This record gives sequence, structure tokens and C-alpha cells, in this order.
Amino acid sequence: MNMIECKNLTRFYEGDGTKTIALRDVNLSFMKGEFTAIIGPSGSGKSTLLSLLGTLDKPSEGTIAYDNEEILKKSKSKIADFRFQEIGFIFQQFHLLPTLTALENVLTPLFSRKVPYNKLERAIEVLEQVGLQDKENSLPSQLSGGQQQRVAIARAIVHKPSWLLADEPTGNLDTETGERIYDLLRELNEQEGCGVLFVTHDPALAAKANRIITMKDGIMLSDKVGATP
Amino acid sequence: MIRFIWQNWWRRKERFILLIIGAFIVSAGLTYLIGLSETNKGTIVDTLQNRWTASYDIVVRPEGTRSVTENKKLLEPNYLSGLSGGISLEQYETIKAIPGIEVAAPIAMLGYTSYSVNYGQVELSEPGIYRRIMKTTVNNGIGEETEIRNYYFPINVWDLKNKGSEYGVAAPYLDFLVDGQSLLAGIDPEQEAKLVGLDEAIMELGTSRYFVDSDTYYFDEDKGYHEIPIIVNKTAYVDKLEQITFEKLDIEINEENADAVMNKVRENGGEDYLDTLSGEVVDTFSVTGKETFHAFINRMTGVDWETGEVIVLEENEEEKSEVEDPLEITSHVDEDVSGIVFKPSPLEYQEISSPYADRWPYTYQVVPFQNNADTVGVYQNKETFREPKLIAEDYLDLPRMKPNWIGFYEASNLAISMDPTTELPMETYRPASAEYVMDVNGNPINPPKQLKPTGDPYSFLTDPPGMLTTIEAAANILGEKPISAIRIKVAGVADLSDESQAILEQVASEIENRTGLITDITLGSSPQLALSYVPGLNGGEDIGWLQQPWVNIGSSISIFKETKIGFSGVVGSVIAVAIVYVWASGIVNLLARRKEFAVLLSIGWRPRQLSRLLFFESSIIGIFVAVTSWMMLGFVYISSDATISFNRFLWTGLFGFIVYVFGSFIPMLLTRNISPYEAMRTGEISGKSKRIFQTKGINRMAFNHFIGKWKRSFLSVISISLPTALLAVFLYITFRLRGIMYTSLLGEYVALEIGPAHYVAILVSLVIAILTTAEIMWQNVSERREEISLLQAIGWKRWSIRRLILAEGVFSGLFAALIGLSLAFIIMWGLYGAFPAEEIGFILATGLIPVVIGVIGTIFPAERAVRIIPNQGMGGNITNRKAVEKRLKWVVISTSVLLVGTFLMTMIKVAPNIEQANDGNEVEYAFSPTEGEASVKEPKDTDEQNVNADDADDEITLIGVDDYLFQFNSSQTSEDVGWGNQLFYAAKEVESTLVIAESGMKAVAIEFTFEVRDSDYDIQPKRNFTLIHGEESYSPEKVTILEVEGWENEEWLLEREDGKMRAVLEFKVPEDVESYGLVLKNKTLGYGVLIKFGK
Repeated sequence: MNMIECKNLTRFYEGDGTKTIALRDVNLSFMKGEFTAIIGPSGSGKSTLLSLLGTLDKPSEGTIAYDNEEILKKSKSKIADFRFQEIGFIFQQFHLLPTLTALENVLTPLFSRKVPYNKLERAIEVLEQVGLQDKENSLPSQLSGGQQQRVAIARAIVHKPSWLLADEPTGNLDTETGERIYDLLRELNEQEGCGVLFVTHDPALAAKANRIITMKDGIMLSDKVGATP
Repeated sequence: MIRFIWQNWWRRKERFILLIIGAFIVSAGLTYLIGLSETNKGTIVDTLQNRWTASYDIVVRPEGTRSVTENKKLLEPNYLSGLSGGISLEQYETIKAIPGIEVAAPIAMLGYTSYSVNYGQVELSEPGIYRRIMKTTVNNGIGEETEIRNYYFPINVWDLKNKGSEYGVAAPYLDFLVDGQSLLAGIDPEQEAKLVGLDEAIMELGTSRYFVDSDTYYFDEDKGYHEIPIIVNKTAYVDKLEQITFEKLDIEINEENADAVMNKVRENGGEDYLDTLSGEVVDTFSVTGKETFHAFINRMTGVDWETGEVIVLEENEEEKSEVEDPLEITSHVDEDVSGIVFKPSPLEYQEISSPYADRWPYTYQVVPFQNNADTVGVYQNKETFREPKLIAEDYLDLPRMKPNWIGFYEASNLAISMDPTTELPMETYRPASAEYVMDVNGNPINPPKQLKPTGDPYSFLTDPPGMLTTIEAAANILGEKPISAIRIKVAGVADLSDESQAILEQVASEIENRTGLITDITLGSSPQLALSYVPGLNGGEDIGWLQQPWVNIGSSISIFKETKIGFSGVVGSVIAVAIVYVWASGIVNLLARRKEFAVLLSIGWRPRQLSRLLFFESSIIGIFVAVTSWMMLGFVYISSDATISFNRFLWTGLFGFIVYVFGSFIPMLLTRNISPYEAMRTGEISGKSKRIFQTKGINRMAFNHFIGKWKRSFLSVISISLPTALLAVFLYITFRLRGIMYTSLLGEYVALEIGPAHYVAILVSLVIAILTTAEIMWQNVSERREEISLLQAIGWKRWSIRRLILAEGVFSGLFAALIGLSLAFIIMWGLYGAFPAEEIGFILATGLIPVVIGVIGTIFPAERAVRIIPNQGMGGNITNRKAVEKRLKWVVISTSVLLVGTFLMTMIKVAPNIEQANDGNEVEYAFSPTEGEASVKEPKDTDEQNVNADDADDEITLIGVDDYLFQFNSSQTSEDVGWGNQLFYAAKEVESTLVIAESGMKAVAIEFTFEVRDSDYDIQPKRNFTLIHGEESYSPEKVTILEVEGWENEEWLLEREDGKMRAVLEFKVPEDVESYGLVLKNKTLGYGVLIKFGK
């Protein structure tokens, strides 16, 4: 999959007579291999945009086409399959399964999926890739925040997705660790060639991206090319 | 996948332990309720239907024969014996023709037949005045009643001609003549055979047989008597001893001074004067009532007719009237012709208040009948328990009959319930039992004494019919309306059910419409202990309180129904609670892992994978539960040889499995609602929160939280309220049934057998409810970690936090109480259509239980909440540290072992009890005595030890009494103790041929000689002899007959053939036995004869 195209994307939540508009009429397209940062204050709709792009949620209005295909109109299982094949998610709270070790967490997306590679070798490989080869058997509670986020990244890339979507991946980390996570994402973007979309509060981090999208009150303010080429 | 599930469980150990405990309790509960109690329930159903059944379903009686007691649906025992006619043969035929009636067995109580037996005459040659003492001793079970009648006559000294009774003497009366009364009843042989299997109860003895069509009635015009075919009850129930003694008075009299002496006697007061004189015993004779009856029968069998020994006494017409038996018909005619004098009549009861209403809710007083001067001789101006009724007004019109003996029947072989513990006294084939339980002052009699019939037609207890004839004969003797009751069995009525009841009601109304007679449905009756106060007669002391099993009409149908409802309800509720628990834990599990699932979805899991995950989890626990149940059942099965059918075994396990698998369906459905987007959200999981009150304090805060999470709160409320409702209903039923249940033997049995299972079931449900609440509260606390740590951070005390959580438990409990009690009231309304106004207090009190349950369920989660440390991070309780792992492993293992062990111990203890209780009943059934002495044991005594103790008691009283007919030492013979005229009996110790292998035992051989001299005696050496030592008794190991003469059927030593027996009895006794007694007890020797050996 090479391209994601959003048309008139709108998402609102209705409840108790009030209507909250999270995203208003967004038109965007993303190409594989891009390194994009989405920036904006709280409640600007950046996470909503990310979850819509990641097929976690459905837009109220408008369409998202993945290589001209509207995946969201398909069944839940098909959407899940799509997510498995194309998208890796990284969350602000890491969302590791607390009862599983680092290695097991990395393996979770592969459960009951048929893949052409050896699952275990692949998991160890990605853990090495994120620099955690010695933490295979640790539980999330025994890892530091940065390590946990790296496990989460390993989990996100274990099934070789075309896109990595990260929701404030450095938000819960100190600046130094945040930097390292950012570098890791950058590395993955360059080595694996997968498109990275990440949401952040931090203008400094965002500035390093190829493309910077600024959001406010559910409206896209700007879409410009970042400092680094 | 399995690994994933396992890790998930294993690393959340606290929850896992809860899960395991839940699974254990569910499997143990199911094992007990489905695997074991069902067998128990089956037993009860069988018992109810098979043992407490009367042989008939409906009884038809003439108008006006219901006694006062029937207002309360109570029938007195053997009520049929007190009825006398009222139904015509025509009506009987009408009833027989009604469709659906399988058996219609009429019974016609003809009345009491008197019979007498002459055992010969005394030989008196020496001149003088003699006294004939007739001493009748009747043992009515409470004590002995002795009646002495004196009769004086001169021998060869004074001419009686033209002398009046003022002289106190009358014509010589030399007979050893004994008389008795026996109830004669008419039956329809064919119907009776169908109803109670009378044809099968006929004994094989000589020509004894059942009625055939050719056994007809015949009226002998010449001699004026009815010839009727009869079959005779082989067992006599009256314990009576008659002793006739002849004494020569110490009065100087010879032919010369006779007139002067007799005039002096007259002047001194005649008979009264003679009573004061002493005398010298010339001859004595004694015979028991049984022997008399036996001899009477013997004569009728024809055996005695062959020898023609019956001597008709013709000269004693006048004397008879002085023997206080003016109605002695036999004195006029052949002895084989007897008369029917008295008609049966019922007792008159008056209801009185019970001295112990808890134990005996039904209490009556017997109202004696005051006879006046017009009454027949024996009862003139006396009080009797029943109103004496003559069969004919005029003495000469009294029917005379000649019974043609057809056969003997043995009442104990009838197809009716003979088990004294379950006796339903409706059959009249056995005497009603009555226990003397309290004396006049209300002091208990310990042990209670068993009242026995006295043979008097109008005494408190009557004999069952001693002779049966045909309805045809009864109709010819009694006239138009001979039948007193018809017992009906209806086709297609087999079990105690509403359908049966409907069929019976239909048939009963049909009978009433067609004949105008009254009907009562007796199906589903149960024995009911009632207390009767029996006054003394004729100025005598009152007897006291007698307890009798009466018949409570139709009561067992309601008990049965309620038992069934109760049991199914309780089992159903346990299962419902188990399912709710499984659902609740499934839902809680889902809630706890909702975010996890959202993450899994977001990283590409298919929704179906989540469902599969949940299904697998449930299946694993389900299999675990099934295997645990099977193991428990298997263990119980092996260790207590309880029988469990394969199907039930299979289902017990499968059921647990199914519950768990079904339990996964709701969470599986709920996973559909999980959106992967939830993984992005932070903070509150449930965005919605309802509130009713403004939060102002801890309680309101807890309440708002409780309402906010109303769905899960509802689950815990339901799981608590279901068992609560059932508990309330069950308690109510128990209390309500108290009247019927605990006072009727059946109810007591049911309550004892089923009660525990009910309570166990409720207990199991309540424990499961605690688990459910704990599970839900646990989740609530987990979700509110942040809230709680925040509260701690802002300075809440630990106790306040504890209170916050406990308050939620209390709310669950309160709501559960509300719902549970409403449910209970609805069920009660449905069952009885009435509100339990009286018991409202205690029913409301059961509402406290759910509150307690709610609190107990919350303690654990509350403690967890208190331990949350304000700065504790996420996932702090998840660990894989080796030490902790090990420790927890032990905790899990030991908890499981403890739980399983406790359960198995209880099961092993309980299961054999179930078996034993049943065995115990069977044992009793097996030796169910054929005679009336059997005491009615209450079912609660079925406990084996008690049974043994009771038996031991019986044994002691049998042997301990040294009340023998006579006794002597081994050096003496029967001649030395004045019994030489009747029999010769002696015994001596001889060398034994027995080889005793056992140590501590030795052989004793006794050679005895027994010769009959006055009449026939029955001797069956193997059976009649016992060797007694202290309280122990031994039967002969070996009997060698050395010499025998005139031994008919190997039973009767016949007098006419000079019956004689010499035999050696060999016994095996302990070595230390030095002195002992040899007891000979048979039918003819009444109390038995004891020969003492050694010191």
C-alpha cells in the first residue's frame, strides 16, 4: 500500500444532546515512506485523525481510501486483517499486556496468523532491532518507560506493516528517552521504508519530520515540509 | 493460545485463586446436588410411593359413619373394625360396574363370634363342697388385669334339688372350659385377593386353601343355624392366660350334717360366706388365649372330630347363667356351632386441647359409654369404651352358625405395608398399635409401653378379624345391608400426582352420585401420630395418654408436592446462581481486560479471535470443573459404595462444563462492542455515570458508584437475591408444614431426608453469591485504583476507604434483600395464594443474610483497596518473581487440597449415612414382626445405633423377665412343680459330640424328654429351645432326636397318640458359662418353661 487519501474527513461525537466535533472536513493524502508529524494542542483532533487513519475508528462523514480502496466499508474481520497487514500502532501509554513478557508481547499480533517467516525468530529479531535482546523475558512492570515503549514499537513492526502510527509515543517519557524513541522511529522509516505518522505535543520533535501537519479545533491549519529533508 | 491464556491467569494470581475457588465450589455443589442428592431424592420418591401406600385409593362408607376426627382429615386406626353394615349388595354391584374401578373390595363386619373350648373335666370323688376358681389374666401391654370368678358346688354330699341360689352353691361344674371372642368379617374372596393378595396369604397346612366358588352358605332349617365357609387368621393377638383351679373347701360336711351345714351357709350369706373360707387345691389347669383359640381352630379343622372327644355338657344349663355369661350359646348345642352376639361399634372421641401441641397437634379424649340396666348381662350398668350392640334384640334371635373351616391365612403374608415404621393403619388385618406414652399426671412413660388388644369386643383396642367368610354368608346372616365399607382401587392410579387425584375425584363423585354413599379418597395418606386420653372405666383409675399412628388423609400428596417443588426449586436456584456467577465472572473478566482487548484489536486481532480466546478460557475451566466433579464422585463412589448411575455421573461433570461454556457466551457477545479506538482513550472506561444524589459523604458516594455501575451491580444483586429468596421460601414452607410435616411420620422422614440437602444447596448458592460479589467488587476496586489512591493522597483515612467499599457491598446486600424477599413473596403467593402474615417477622429477618453476604464479599476487595499506595504505578500487582511464584504455587495447591479434602470428607461421611439410613429401614422391613407388639419407631431413630439399641432393649425384656409359665431345676421334672398332669418334661446335661474349633467357646449338650399328657403340644426343637445365660441367648447348633412318637408334621406332639420326644440339643457357648437355663417356648406353653442348670 502506497497511499492514503482522506476526503472531507469529519468525525463528531453525539451524546446528551450535545454534538462535539473532533475533526472537521480534513482533506489529506499520505505517501509510503513519508515521515509525518501531526502537531497541535489538546483536543485539536490529532489523535482522532490518527485513529481514523489507523482504521481504529470510523469517520462520521467523508472517506479514507487506501490505494483507492475504502477498507472501512468492509467487515470488522477484513478491517482487522488490513490492520494486521499494513498498520502498526504505538500508543502513548505503551499498552503492553501486563501479564506477558516482552517477547510474548511482541508475538501477540502474530497469534493465530499465518506468516511466511518464523514467528519466534522474527520477534527476537525485532527486539534486537529496538535494542532489547536481553529483556526478552521481562514483564512490562519490570521495564522502564522507554524500554516499554521500545517493546511496543517492536510489537508494532513485528508483522512488517507499511505504516507506523504513533500516538504521542514520547509523551510519557523524559526528553532524552523521547529522543531515542524518535530516532528509532526515524531509523525504521529509513531502513524498512514504512510510512510513519506520529502525533506529538513537542514542536522540537515535530520540526525534525519531513512533513508537519498542524491541527487546531479539529481543523487542519497547515501542511508543510519539515526542516530535515 | 493456551499459553497465552495460562500466562494471563498465572500472572494474576489473586484472581486466579478466586477463579479456582469458584470452580471448586461450583463443581462440589453440582457434585453434591446432581450427583449425590438426586439419588437421595430418588429414594424419597420411591419411599413415598411404595411404602406409604394404602392398598386402596377410595373408601366408600354409609352415610353418617364419619367420626368427629374426620373433620380434621384424620381417620382412627383400623376404623373399619368399628363399622357395622349400611351398604346393600345392590349398591355394591353398582359400584363394581362403574368404569375405571379395578378393585371394589367390600367388607362386612358380622360381629364377635363366641367360641369355647373344653379341655376336659376334673375328677372329684371325695365328698365335700368345692370351689371352682376361674382366673383370667389379660396382659394389655400396660399391665395385667386379673379377673377372678368363683363358683361353688357340692360333690356327693348334698342334694341340690329344689334349692335356690341363696345357698351359694349350684350344680357341679367340672369342666376345664375356656371361652373367647373372635371378630368375624365377610369379604368378597375374589376382590380381596386382588386388593391385598389374601389368596397368597393362605398357609399350607393340611387341607388349608383359599375360598373357591363352591364354598357357599347354607342354612340348616332343622337345627336352625347358618353354615358358613370361613378362613381363619392363624395369629391370635390377645395375650391372655386362663387358669382354672378346683379347691375343696375346709368345711366339715357329710351326708348326715349336710342340710344343717348348708342352712348355716345360707344364713351366713351364701356365696359371700363361702368366699371367706379357705380351701385345698385339688387340681389346676391353665391355658393361654392363643392356645384356646388354637384348640378351637384345631377342633374345627376336623382333627379332633375324628377322635370324637368333644363332650357336650348338657347338665349345666343353669350353672352357666352364674358364670356371668348368660349368652354362652355353646352350652345348648354342639360345640362346633357358635353364636354371633355382639356387633362392632366405633369409639366415641372428643377433641381436647393437647398437652404438647408441638408433638401431638391432634389430641382426643375417649368418651366411655354408660350402659344401663337394659344392657346385656356382661355390660349391665357398666361403662364400656364402645357401645355394646347386640346383633339381635331377642336372645333367641341371635344368629347361630356352624363355621366350615376352609383354610388358614397369615396376615403378615398379605400384600400390605407391614413395616412398623411406615405403618398406615388402614387395613384392619393387624391390631392397631397404641403406645402408652404418658400417665394420668402427664409424666412420660419411658420406654413407652405397647398396648395390646384384650379380646373384649368393646375395649379400646379391638382385635382384627380372626375369621373371614364370604359376603354372601354375611348377607344371609345380617340381612339387607351387610357391607360396612367398600375399598376401591382405581385403574391407572399409580403415583401421587395431581392426575391421580383428578381421576380419583371423578370416580368418587361417580360413586356418590350413583349410590348416595359417602366416599373418601385415601390415596396419599400418611401416618400421623395422635394422642388419646383414655379414662378408666367403672370407677377405675384413668389409664392415661396413648399415642397411636392415625391416618392423615391425603396429607402426603401435599408433602410430596411441596418436597418436589422445594427440591427442584433449590437445585434450580443453585444452578441459576452458578450460572449467574459464571456470567458475572465472565463479564468482570471482560471488563477488566477491555482495554487489553482493544489494544489487541488495534494491533490487528480479529474480533473472532477474542471470542475464541474467551471460549477457550471458559472451556478450560469447564473441563476442570467437570474433571473435578468426576473425580469427587469417583472417589465417593469408591470409598462408600454409593451407587451412582452412569448417566448421572456423566451429567454431573458435563453440567459443570456446560455452565461454564454457556457462561462465556455473554462476554463473547460483549466483545463485539469493543472498539479498537478505546485503546486510544485514557481515563474512565465507562464514560457514562448515573447519579441520583449529590455526593455529600462516603455513603452517598458509594451509592452513586453502585448505581453508576448498575449493570454489574445488578449481577451481584441477582446472584445474592436468588438464594435469599429460596431460603426464605424454604424456611416458610418448613414452618408452614410444621403442622403436617413434623408431626406426621412421613413428614418427619421427608424433612430429615431432604432438609439437609436443601440447606446445603442454599449454602452453596450463598457461597457462590459471596464469590460473585467479591469478583465484581474486586473489579470495581481495580478500576478505581486511581480514584482510591487519589483519595488517599488527599488525606482519607484507611478506614474511610474501607467504608467506602464496604458500603457498596451493603448496598448490594440491601438491594438483594429487597429483590430476594419480593421474589420470595411472589413465589409464596404463587404456591399458596396467601401472604404469610404470621411468619412475616422471620421472613423479613432472612433479609439480613444478603446484607451480610454483600459485606463478606466486599471485605477482600476493600482490603485490597486499602493497600493501594498513593504513588503506586500501573501493573504493580503483576509479577513473575521466582519466590513469589513458588509461594503462590503452594498457596494454590494447599487451598485446592484443603477444599477438595474437606468436600470429600463430608461426602464420605454423608454418603454412607444416606446408604445406612436406607439400609436401616430395609433391615427393619426385613424383620418386620408379624404380631402386634411391634413398636412404631419414629423415622429419626433410623440412625443405626439407635436401631441396635432398641433391638437390644427388646431382647433384654424378652429374656430378662423370669416370668415363665413354670420353672424347675435340672434335677427335677415337671411333676415336681405340679405340672405332671399336663405334661412330663425333664432335661439333663450329657456329653457333647460337637467339635468346637473356635477358642473361648465350648459345647453344651442337653438331653430332654417331653411327653404330652392332657392335650397336644407343639415342639420344634430347633426353634423352640434356647439356652440362656445372663442376657445372652443361644439357639441349638445341632438337634439329635433319639426317640419320638406321635409327632405330626414334625410339629405337634399329639395327645391321642401319646406324643413323646427325647432328643439331644447341642449348643455352642462361651467357655465361662457354668450355670445357664434352658427355655422352651412354643405356641402352647405361653410364657415358656425354664429349666435351671448349675448353681
